Amino acid sequence: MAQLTGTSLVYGSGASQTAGGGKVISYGYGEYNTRTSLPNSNNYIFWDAATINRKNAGSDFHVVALMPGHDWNSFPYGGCFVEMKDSSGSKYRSYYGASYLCCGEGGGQEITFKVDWTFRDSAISNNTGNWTVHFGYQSINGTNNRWCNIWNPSGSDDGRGYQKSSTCFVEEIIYG
Amino acid sequence: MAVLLDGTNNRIEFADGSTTDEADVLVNITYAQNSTRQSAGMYNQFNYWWEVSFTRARTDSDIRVSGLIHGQENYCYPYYGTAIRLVAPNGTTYLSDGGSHYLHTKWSNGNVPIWTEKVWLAANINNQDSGWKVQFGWRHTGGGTCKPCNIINYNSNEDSRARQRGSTCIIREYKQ
Repeated sequence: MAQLTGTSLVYGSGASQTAGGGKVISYGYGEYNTRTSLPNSNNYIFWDAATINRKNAGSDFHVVALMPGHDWNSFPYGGCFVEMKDSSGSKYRSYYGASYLCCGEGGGQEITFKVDWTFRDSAISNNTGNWTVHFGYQSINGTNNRWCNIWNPSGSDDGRGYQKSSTCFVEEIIYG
Repeated sequence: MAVLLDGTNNRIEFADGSTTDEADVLVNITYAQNSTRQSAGMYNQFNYWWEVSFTRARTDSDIRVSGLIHGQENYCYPYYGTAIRLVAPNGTTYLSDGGSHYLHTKWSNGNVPIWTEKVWLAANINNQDSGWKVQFGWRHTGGGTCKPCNIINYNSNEDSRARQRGSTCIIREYKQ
């Protein structure tokens, strides 16, 4: 039998709980599998990746993505970002937690772009409702760049392979 | 403040102000690791080097697979042939070329990490619960065979300085 004891909720098993956090309360997922030539550009969003319905005004968003590219262009560059947009249209961009790596052998090889970033509640609005996740690139000096020439490579880039896709998982977390 | 049973709002409120308003959508987690050094196989049809069993608690949940595989020594590149497959209790398979990607270096005997980040939504898989499997592997178009690396989970046989390397995966089940 569960009991309320002081500041704890004590379950019949003997386990206790002292906070309502430490849980994932919502999530969204996006996947895109079209081979795409990226433009040499600046402040360019190449993927509107996922939508998540935020339940709690004080929660954090954790974004994880895996995006394959082909044929290097700009490196190390340092202009790739992950961005979220709230239900009123306000945008929150991070150049942290978004990094890619080119095969050093030369052009015409694979590139891996990984994102692992948490938008803390203190850095974003308290809007609930639908938020969206975006990935893009922008240089600090105004020049045009791109993290790869081909995003989501396919058998067109290596005849032995298959159409690759990019994936993005975003979860709403209450830490505690 | 003591823990409160809030009948008005149908929730429990803890001393830190957190509540049980929102349910945890993360239903189940399975973790697995593999640290057996082995030679990678040459495959034509999809085949796998590692199979991980997990229990699906619900019939209507989404399945997320995250993984990091330690490969070594270049073989096929850029290739784009790595893949992952989900196997239902009744044997139905769900193959994905997306959400699996690797990177080789310019050094022929260098590291070849393979990343997995993939979600199968409930709408795209059957409604069986209990014993499912995830398989990590690759395939080749046409009649040829290939592999992304020569050795998986390398050790001091490949570099006398190396400790035994291991591959890991986390399978998460969500329902919202």
